[in-house]
Amino acid sequence: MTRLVFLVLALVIAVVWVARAVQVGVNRRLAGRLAAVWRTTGSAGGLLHKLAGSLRAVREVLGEDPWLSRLLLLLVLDVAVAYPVFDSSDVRVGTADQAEVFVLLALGLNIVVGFAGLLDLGYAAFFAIGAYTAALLASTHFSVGKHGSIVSNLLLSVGNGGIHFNFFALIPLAALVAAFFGILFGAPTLRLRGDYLAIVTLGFGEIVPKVVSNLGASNSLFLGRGNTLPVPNITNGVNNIVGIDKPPDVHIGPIHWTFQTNDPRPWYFLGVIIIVISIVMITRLRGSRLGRCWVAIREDEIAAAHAGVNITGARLTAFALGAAFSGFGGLLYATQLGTVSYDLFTFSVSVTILVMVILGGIGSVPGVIIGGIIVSYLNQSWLTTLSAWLNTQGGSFDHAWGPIGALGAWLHTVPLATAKPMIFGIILVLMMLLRPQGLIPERRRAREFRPETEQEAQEELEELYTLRTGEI
Amino acid sequence: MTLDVLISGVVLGSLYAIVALGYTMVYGIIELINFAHGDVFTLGAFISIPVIQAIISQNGSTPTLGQSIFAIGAAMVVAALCCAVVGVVIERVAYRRLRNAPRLAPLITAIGVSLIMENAMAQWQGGLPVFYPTALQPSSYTILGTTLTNTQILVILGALAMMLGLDMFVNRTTIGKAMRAVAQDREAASMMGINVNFIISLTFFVGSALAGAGAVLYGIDLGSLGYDSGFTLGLFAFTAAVLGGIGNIRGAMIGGLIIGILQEYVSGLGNGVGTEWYDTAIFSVLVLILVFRPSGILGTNTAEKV
Repeated sequence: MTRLVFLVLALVIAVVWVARAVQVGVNRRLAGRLAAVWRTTGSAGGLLHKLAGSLRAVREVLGEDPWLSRLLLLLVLDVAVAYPVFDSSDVRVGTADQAEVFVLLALGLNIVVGFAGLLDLGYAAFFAIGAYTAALLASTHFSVGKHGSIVSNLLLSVGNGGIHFNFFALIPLAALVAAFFGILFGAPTLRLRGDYLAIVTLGFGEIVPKVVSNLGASNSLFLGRGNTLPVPNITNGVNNIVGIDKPPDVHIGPIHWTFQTNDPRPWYFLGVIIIVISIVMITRLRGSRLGRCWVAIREDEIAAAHAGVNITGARLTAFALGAAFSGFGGLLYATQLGTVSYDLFTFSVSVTILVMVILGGIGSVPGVIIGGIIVSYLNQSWLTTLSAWLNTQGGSFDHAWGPIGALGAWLHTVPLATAKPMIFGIILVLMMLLRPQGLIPERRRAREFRPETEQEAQEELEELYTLRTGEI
Repeated sequence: MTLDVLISGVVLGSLYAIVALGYTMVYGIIELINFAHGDVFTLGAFISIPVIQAIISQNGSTPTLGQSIFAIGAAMVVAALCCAVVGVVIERVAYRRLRNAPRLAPLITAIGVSLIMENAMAQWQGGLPVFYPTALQPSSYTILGTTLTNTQILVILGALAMMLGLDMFVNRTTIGKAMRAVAQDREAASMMGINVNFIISLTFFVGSALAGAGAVLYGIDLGSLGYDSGFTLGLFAFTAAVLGGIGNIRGAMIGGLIIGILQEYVSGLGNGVGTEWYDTAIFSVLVLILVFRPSGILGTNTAEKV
């Protein structure tokens, strides 16, 4: 029944899309553009350039009519929401749940790195802070008082059974706590060039898990030589905090979500809603006055300052907002897992999120989402599958002659799954050298990274000329 | 602070100083935080292991002093040359093409190179710490009521020699002058006939060579290291470089010493509780210095290059 609804919806959208496309004459214009691309880039370009040019032409023609892209977006959304209804494997949907968390994180890091051009290498610190906010405020960890509960209402219950905030009340709380730490960590570097921020955030990224692991029951602080002061058990130290509350059940109309069972689907739907809201917020932000300030800072800080941009404020808000999304992601992650420990938030996590942003396209929202999905799946399943496949394939011809056999023997043992950091490193280097604008580049960013083509220079000149003289 | 804490701090600090030199030289000349530098350091240590094993048999027999000196010297030369070549290759392949790209690009590339190197070394040497072969028969001397091991003396003397050599090289030779000129103004230097690409390659060569040679001293002093040792060490060394004034070679030496002494001092606090907190302490130094004196101890407040 539900499947039918999604299918019909997809069909309707597709029909409307085609009708609209014919109405605005996409077919004619696209045909003209494609013919031009295949004619002009022929001699020097080769097939790859022709294909890239064709893709660009398709994007440009479709981009001319806003309704076409809106409908396409609706179709993508329909497919995204329908996915777990059609996939019966709980494991695969669970993988998608985690991918959603990472997409959320990538979207947040994109604000800092992509919009404002500040490299944050300790992004996992805020992820940890969000997760631990959930772990401390929605579990049995902090027992208050001796008898029963002291406060108990819809939003919050406190008592000897621990502090339990409602999940939906924790959303703003986790975001706020993370944003506070974002400002705290970002403030020391305000007077300095952006790349100091990289090293300071890297340091904080190392320190936060360390401090978390040092604030357990068996830890202490020192007060000079020989004097120690036991610390209260704040974070359970190197041990996990377990039993983090699940969100309360949601029953609205035909929707019945319960988070208490092992079914990953409610999580998936919750994730989609959160991501959609985040995307709307982020795209609105990017076009706002603040968003334009970020871009100005990224492109030329000194010029921006002279144009009256409040550098300090814009940097701090970028940092705080990025951190807030990370805290938010941490909350989702912790409640999904039901447990947190300090070693879930190491430098490698920060780098993984960075790879998502770089791969997808710095500053590009659709790019970052695609990058997040690709890297997250690589990380969780594709590499392991590929590694196993290569190993069996290699094993089938490792006794062959000479170099072929050697190749087989190598493939038979190639440890692809443990080489994740190397693969991510190669992605970073290759993307920066060969395609710094990412897979799905943001328009402005793409121009910034590569020298403009003659055609673009010509167009820009014509635009300026038109503006100045009013002629067309 | 007792004398032995001071001494072990100076020993550790000299090692930090050598690594910090590589960061500060590269930053001074192309304004890039070379994240891969710490991993070049680790690579130097791993490369030197077979060299020492080839010269001194590790079957429990005592090496003579002559053997030890020869083994250590050979290991340092081999490690320095290999690291220097690796450093130059990294610059040539990964950084040079991005010299005029937006600032983030080379920084991200540097992180990528660091990840590749770290994982390659993990595949090569395994994930567990590797024991460094014994190159020097341990012995100790009592001076002024405190004991001083021959390893400590070796590290301090070796580091001192390298630092003095570098200081002379940069301040007294023509090529050193060219390096300073490129650091000051790349364009003007190239107009004066200096081959900027060559000088930048040379900077990577010298910085990485120092890291490689220093890594041998590190291995002998600490006795074991893992594929990721260079990561934390690099972070601390960078802190040292910032503390001394980034781009300033003498500053990096002083910064390294201060960080080393601080680490040993904090580690000794509170019956060993301090060992859980020393990295937090070192990192706080970085934050404090950035807030209150971003130009570092020896750096002068210069306007940013535009």
